[in-house]
Amino acid sequence: MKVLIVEDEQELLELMLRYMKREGYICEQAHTYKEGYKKINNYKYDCAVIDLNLPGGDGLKLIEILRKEMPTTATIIISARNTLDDRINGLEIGADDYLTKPFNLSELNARIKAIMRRKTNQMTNELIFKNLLIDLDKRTVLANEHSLKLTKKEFDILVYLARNKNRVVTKDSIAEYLWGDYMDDAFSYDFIYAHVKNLRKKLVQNNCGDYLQTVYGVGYKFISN
Amino acid sequence: MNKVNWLYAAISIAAIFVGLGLAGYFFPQHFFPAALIVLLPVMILSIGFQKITNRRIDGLRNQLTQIISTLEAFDLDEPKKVIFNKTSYPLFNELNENILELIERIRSNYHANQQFTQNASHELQTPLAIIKGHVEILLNSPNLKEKEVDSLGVILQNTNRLARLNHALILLSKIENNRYFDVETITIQQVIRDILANFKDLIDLQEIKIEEHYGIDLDVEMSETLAEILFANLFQNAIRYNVEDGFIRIQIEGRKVNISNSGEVLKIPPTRLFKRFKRESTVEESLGLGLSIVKRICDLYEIEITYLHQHGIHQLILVFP
Repeated sequence: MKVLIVEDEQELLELMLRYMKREGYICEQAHTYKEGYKKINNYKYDCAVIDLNLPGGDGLKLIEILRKEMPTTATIIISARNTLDDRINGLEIGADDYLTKPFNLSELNARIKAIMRRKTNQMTNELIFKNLLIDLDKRTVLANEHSLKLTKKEFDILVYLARNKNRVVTKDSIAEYLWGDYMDDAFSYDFIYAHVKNLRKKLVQNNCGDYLQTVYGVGYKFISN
Repeated sequence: MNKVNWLYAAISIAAIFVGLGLAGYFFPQHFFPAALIVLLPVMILSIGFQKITNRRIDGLRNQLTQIISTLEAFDLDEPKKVIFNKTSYPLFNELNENILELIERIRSNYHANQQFTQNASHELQTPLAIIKGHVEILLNSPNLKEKEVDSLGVILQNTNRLARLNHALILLSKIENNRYFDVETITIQQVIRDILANFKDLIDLQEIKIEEHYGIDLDVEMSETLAEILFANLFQNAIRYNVEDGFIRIQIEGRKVNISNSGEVLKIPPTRLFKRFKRESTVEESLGLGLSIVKRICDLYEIEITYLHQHGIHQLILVFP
């Protein structure tokens, strides 16, 4: 999969590149509006991650062009601008998602995966993780062919962890993923702990308990080997 | 009687004695008529003086009350210009001018300060994102020792705190600068229902009972985003500061929304609750900005908000205009 990242902040750009490359994506970069414009005119990408405030122009324009010329490309806006207007504009122009800085790389990763899944229109919307079969449409989980009864939040956490397999997923990124921006982490950590505890219990009952690892003080990790 | 009046009384009495003395000395045989002739003008003069002085004192007092009430009504956030009426007292005019100048100076400093907060918070977003990203990448490097993971956890936790604080500050300055124009008609009951649904698991985990008494739909004109932020903050507090097996009661009557919940007694006086950075310290690490965001939103839409605490029950009452 080919991903274009347009971001003027070099450090941030490199971070995203490093993270994406580990996912096995082929990544390209652009620092300015002009560079981004050239890239999307000359090459075809599966996904474009675009910052709004770019030297030389507005990232929204790039999204507009992509929508017209390359409608199959998935687009994600990353911006420090968190006004509702920007959000609505971005999504109206046709961006597939909108992330506000400072975001978690694991969140960006999960969103890209979710969008790509939607875009590529796979017949079965399933996520397979070792002996777990997660149906994203029906929101059901089979563990060793036993159906797991999960609450909504437990299911969401499971999907989030599975999408970021073999990586540490931090508690705050889970909090943001589950409750959005308005939630204080300190407040939500206890609840995440409770949800994960319940989720783990259910996995253990179906012999999948060793998938879920706690990274003490930081978060959780789904391990596939 | 004030000091000036006493002074006049003293002078009048002195004048009477002097007058009587003089009358007795020069006209001993016509003492009474002479005394009358001398005293009458003295009395008239002293009463007249007293009247004039009293009127002047009242005038001065009025001026002072006017200045005090203008200053009392003064609100830095209100763009309304402060106006003093011209008076016949040059000194007061000068004082008023000085006060006006001072107010303008305070106001411009305040705005510069606001602007700075806004710019600073905005500029902080990218470096915070970079720190967070690097910690995330480091966390995933192989062969990390437990101590290293611990340190990274602490860095991450504190970076998140900064990011959250920053978010709250940006939000506050946006509300202060009236940047939410998406005013529409929204139904408060609907907003509350959505938020309760979002927090359902938190409510269930703490086994909090929810009592809902919704009357007729309460429709208000305001930004939906801000309404969500307003009630999300209120319910977060109602959940956070609740006790086990506690309750949250929502009552809507007319344009009054009453949210009450069980919880421990606050340690800070309720009047200071809505100021920035005040927080209830029994819960660690919470930001003190939640309620000042609530207050700002209420101010913006002229929603009256009061906090009461009675018999172990916290009550927040919102009255919509």
